[in-house]
Amino acid sequence: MNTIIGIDLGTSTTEAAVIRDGKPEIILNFDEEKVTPSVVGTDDSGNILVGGAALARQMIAPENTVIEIKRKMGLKERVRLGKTDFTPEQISAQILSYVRRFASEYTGEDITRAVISVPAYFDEIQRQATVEAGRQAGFTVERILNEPTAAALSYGLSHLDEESHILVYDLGGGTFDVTLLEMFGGVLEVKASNGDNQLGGKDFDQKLIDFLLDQFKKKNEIDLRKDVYAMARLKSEAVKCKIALSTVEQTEVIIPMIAEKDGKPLALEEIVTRKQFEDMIKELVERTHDPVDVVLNDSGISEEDLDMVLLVGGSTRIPIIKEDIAKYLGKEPVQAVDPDYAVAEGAAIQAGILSGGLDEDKSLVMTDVNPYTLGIRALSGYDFDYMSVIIPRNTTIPVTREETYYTSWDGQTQAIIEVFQGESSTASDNHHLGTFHIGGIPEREAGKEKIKVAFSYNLNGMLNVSATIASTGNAADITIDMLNRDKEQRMDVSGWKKSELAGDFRTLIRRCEKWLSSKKGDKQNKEEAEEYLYLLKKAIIEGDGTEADIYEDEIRALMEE
Amino acid sequence: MQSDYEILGLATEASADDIKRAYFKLVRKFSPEKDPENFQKIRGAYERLIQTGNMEDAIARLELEIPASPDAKNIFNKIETLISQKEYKKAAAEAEQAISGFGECEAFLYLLAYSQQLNGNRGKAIKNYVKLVKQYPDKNIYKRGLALTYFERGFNNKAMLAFEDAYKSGTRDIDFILQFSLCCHEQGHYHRGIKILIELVSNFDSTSKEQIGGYIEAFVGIFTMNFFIVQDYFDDAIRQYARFLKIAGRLIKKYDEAALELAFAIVMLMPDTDNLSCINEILEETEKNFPKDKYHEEWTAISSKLIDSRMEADTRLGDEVKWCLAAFILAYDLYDDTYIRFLQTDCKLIIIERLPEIKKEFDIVKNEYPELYEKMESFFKQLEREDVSYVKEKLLKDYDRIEKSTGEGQYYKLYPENRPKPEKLQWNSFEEGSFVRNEKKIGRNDPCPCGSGKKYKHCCGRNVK
Repeated sequence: MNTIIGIDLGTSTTEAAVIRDGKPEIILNFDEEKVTPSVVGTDDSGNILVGGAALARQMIAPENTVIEIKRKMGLKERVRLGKTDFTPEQISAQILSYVRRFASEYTGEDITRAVISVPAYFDEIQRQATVEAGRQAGFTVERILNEPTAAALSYGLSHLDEESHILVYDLGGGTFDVTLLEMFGGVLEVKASNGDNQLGGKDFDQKLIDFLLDQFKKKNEIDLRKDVYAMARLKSEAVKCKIALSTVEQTEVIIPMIAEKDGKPLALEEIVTRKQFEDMIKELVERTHDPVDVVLNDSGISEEDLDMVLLVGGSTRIPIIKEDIAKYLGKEPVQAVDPDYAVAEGAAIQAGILSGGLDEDKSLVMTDVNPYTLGIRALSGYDFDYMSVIIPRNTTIPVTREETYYTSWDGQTQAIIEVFQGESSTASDNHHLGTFHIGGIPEREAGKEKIKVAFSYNLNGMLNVSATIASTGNAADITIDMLNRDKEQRMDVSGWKKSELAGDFRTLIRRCEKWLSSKKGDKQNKEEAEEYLYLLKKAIIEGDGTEADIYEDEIRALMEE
Repeated sequence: MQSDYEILGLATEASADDIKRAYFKLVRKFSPEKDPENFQKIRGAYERLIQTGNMEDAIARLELEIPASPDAKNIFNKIETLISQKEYKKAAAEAEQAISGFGECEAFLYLLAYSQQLNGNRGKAIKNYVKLVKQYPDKNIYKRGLALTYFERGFNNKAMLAFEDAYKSGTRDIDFILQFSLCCHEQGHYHRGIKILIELVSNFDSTSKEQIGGYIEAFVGIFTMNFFIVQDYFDDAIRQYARFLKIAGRLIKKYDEAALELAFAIVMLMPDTDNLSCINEILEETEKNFPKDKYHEEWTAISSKLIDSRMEADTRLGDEVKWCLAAFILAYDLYDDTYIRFLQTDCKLIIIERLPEIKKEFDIVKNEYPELYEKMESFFKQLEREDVSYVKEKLLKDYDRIEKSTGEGQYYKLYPENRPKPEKLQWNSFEEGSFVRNEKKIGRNDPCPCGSGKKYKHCCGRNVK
């Protein structure tokens, strides 16, 4: 019951691992494969397919397949799969619940706890979405772990006594991360972390696809962009071509019968050389330099002090990436860990540490940093919207920091503490996390009263902000759970029919549900009605008739509008 | 309360390496997972010790005289810790007490002066530093402290002397030099200030990478002071700056846009220098870190200024052409719209008058400075399209109107005959005294003075009431 597994939920593939005999082991899926494609689809009868089966159907039914969902995590966008719309969390939950099923079978126990890795540069919203997906899949997400840290853990476990500075360069399918760590006396200390959460192998594919499309258009004057079937085939060929170019100097892309012209079938045939491909992606590769600089600067470690550059992520197999980083840092990178499995293994190690499945003396201890700056809005000089930093980015967590602020005008009796996260010095450009206010400040001249604001940030991403008036000891605080923010627990209302009140409202509920699934009606009204419907069912279950009557009226009004 | 050393289980004389080792060992025991509270305590102690380790090392290197008793040693350490925890007030109080107990020995006197300086009691700190300088004339650190405190206190004259004294005895750290140069700047000793800064930057090498921010500040100082005197040091300064950029490489990015602003300032301040290649080098290095597509506005300004100065130096172009071009590419935010319109009208009129003579020069501009010509192109097109005399008439009207508010332009100076004869519109009693009528007043029924033969009230006096 206590086993926790580690999951690397990647943009293109997903892996899971578990600790066996003090070592991480990759869990095989139902197809006896170590790697599961991060693809979700439906078959002809509408059943959900995940992994290899869904990937296989992508060619035949691209409109019923969802890929690269990780890139949409945390966005409000919905993806269409077959006839229904899903949130990105729901799609990811499908993948995770597939993982849960095969892991349970593999280990022979019911697996309900997991450590899931995310790119270090995922922001809090994206992390929250990942936790939410885990929960929907039936997991208790014990920890969200940064991918580069996971990779370093997997390296560190077999090099416990090393003393070195390691730069992890993680270029995966959809995200890019750089993390600088120090290994010392069995402790893995993250010094700094940065990245670009919209850069990865998929962007290289896109460049290649654009190139092929342009060539095809030039030759045949046909634009394939609108043809989903052709695009799906093109995409899979482009990926193959990219992979081939890592080992050979040139390769030929052949896709027969991709389009028709004057009743004759046309094939796409194009020779792509490695040089051409490198020119296409050069600009993207150069985008990796900025995060590397930031990490070196933040950690105060110069290139000469680096002992090792560790490459992780499938895209680091591309030769130009290796050459570029070697040139930029003046140091030959190493592929000491398997780029595909290192992250999942690292997550499993973290899981092992948490569950006690890993022997303490033989395991690593890890310290992590917070990737984004945290602070409050304050008045500074003439700037009313100044971001006053309390915990700068790349500070080792858990951490508690305190700053003192002064009243800004005579007779000020209260203060509003607005908490922000982000790198801009203008508070409103950053991400607003929460607001609270503190009153009861004694009326005095401006600047005479001190307010102490303390931030404490823990490993689980909980931020506690408290404000104390120095002279009276009056305090107020707010706790922001970065991982489970504003997710109010919803009750399961499916059992409303069993309630005694159900008979009075059955017709209305049925009508309303029918209306909601139809295409008629205003979208906003429907959203409101959906909320009322939930409240109504809740009231029915709780047996609160008066409350239910109110909601009934609201729903009626919305439907008649 | 436990001291930071106690938290890490160390003796107070532990080295930086010991501290690191102890920290990592404890982290294994109290990991952030299992014992976040203790971890935070350890981490806090570690961070503070690392931060202050350097300072304590510096104090240790001074080889201060401490009274031989073990108590004195303990008190000394205690004050040191207080200083490293930024409790300057407490530290000063402790030091004062120690002096009353052990007498004015070097160690306590220095710690007292140092904590007073940091706590803002500069007057007291000065007094103590003066004592130290007198007693230990061969220790630079006291001269340095005295100079800095004088300067902080605002005693610039005394500070200047103290700075010179400390400098002569070999103090060369970057903070000191920067403060010294600031003092020179405030006192107007620009040559001196620049000289010490140039000496500082010429010693920049890859080992001083940590202090790049300070060096950038030094360059800002050089160029600012150089601007006050006749730019004697410009060539020297840019040569140093180019060298600096090469060594510093992409580390300058850390200092936001300071390097970009500096490059901008260099181009803007650039006198007629033959050292264009050096400036180009600087721009190239700067561009590596601040690419043009990201800092578009700044680079446009820089390149237009560069073209501008190339044009200024071009001997084939006459003054009039240069003047005209300048009016069209002026920094628009410096002047208001009316004034710019006036300048441009002024130039347009001159061009019309002199077109046959200066046509050739404008051809050069067209071919070699297309960016500049672009701005004037529409005017030349207008001249081709429309009748020249008509254009001139329209411009003159406009010119005349604006000239009244902005003052005389070049055109009327060159062609005074085109200035319209001033008409007297209103009686100015202020300048010409009160109005006195000399002629007889015309009555309503008198014949009109205009000679029409009609009565005045039916002719010119029709509207007079």
